[in-house]
Amino acid sequence: MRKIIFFICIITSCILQAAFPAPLKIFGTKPDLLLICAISACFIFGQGWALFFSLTSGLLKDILGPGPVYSNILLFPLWGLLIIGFSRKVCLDYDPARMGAVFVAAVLQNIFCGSSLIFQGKGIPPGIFLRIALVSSLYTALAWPPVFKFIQSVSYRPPAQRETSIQDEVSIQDD
Amino acid sequence: MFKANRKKLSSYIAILGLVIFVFLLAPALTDPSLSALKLPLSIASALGRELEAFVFFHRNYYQNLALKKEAGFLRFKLNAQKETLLESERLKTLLNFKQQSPFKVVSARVIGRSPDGWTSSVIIDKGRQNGVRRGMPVVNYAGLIGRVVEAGDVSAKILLASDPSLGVSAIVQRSRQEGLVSGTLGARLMMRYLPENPDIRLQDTVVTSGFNEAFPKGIPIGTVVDIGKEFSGLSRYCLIRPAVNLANIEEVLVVVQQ
Repeated sequence: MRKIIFFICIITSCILQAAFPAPLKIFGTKPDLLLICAISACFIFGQGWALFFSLTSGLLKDILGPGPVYSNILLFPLWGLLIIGFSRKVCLDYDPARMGAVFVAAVLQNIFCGSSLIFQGKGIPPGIFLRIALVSSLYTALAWPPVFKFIQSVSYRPPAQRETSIQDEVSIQDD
Repeated sequence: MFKANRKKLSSYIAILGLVIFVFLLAPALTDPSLSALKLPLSIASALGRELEAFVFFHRNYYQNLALKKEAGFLRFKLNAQKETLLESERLKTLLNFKQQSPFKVVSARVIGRSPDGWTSSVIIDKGRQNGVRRGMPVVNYAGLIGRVVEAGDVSAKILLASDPSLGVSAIVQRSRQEGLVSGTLGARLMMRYLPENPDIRLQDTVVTSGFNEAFPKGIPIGTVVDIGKEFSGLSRYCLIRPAVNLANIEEVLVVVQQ
């Protein structure tokens, strides 16, 4: 059931991402809600479902974009897998650490997208590049805690019934 | 240990296979997904508009007053120009000029925008069923907006003029200086490939040249606000303030027949 709720959360984020209210934009940028969903899946579910949800988020983001290159399908699962792998080495139980991880993923995502445009020979002024790459990533990281709390609250299940997630796997390994 | 590694390897291969499968399937999923999302996107964008109207009520009120004043002034000017127009039409008939057929347009409402800052596009609520096809130019009463890059059954994606991927052949209305206008992802457009001493002045109007079939001739693109030298030093560029505020468009006209 909570997987279905999480899926609905992704669809809602997709709609919000495309019809993001203008008054909430900061310097013309908006947070990457679908990236937040993809990373949230890594903290809530196990590796398999995290991959599925990050793939879905990437697919939806590509569907909304003008195309024809579908890069988010490849990038979102990559960030998800990297965060899962990283969380096995470093404790990411606290909100600031998770926010940091989201920020890094958003910066990498933006730098990849921006660089690919530059390598295609499409001129982007440096100011605009930095504005999108940094402000948008920062906004995504700042939007992470409330969005994650909301997703967690709607897709929460008591610990006794939960299946193994990353944190549980880490704690089992530690034991 | 070897077995464990083999298991791990096979799971990685399965993951990679799944990702590639979805990657290849993505183009086919776009149209049905957008069709399914059309209604919720329309509702969400309507709610967003209401929220914007509520938040910017004060600004809109004063803007409305200014626009009413401007409309009155323009109406006055229009009446004065009517006489000249009638005279021009009489002379055209006398000279047997072929009257240019007006564009056939389809009006559409914007229901979604690009999901990130690296592209500048919108989704509209009209598609193939309404005669919208890939490659058609998109305008509004003020000027050029962009071009249709993908047309689904009931929706279409438009690449805006502010996207760096869209190049528009343009000329300066006063001096007929040619150049290529493309977006910068910001509030300004850039006209490139200008000679060392271009005949361009600030506040000059830039329009589509009509040199290729992509855009009809004479659609306003914007006004020149700055002229600079390219990094290579070989040519010049000029910055253009778009005639249309591309960040806030709500309705567009797709030119289905030129």
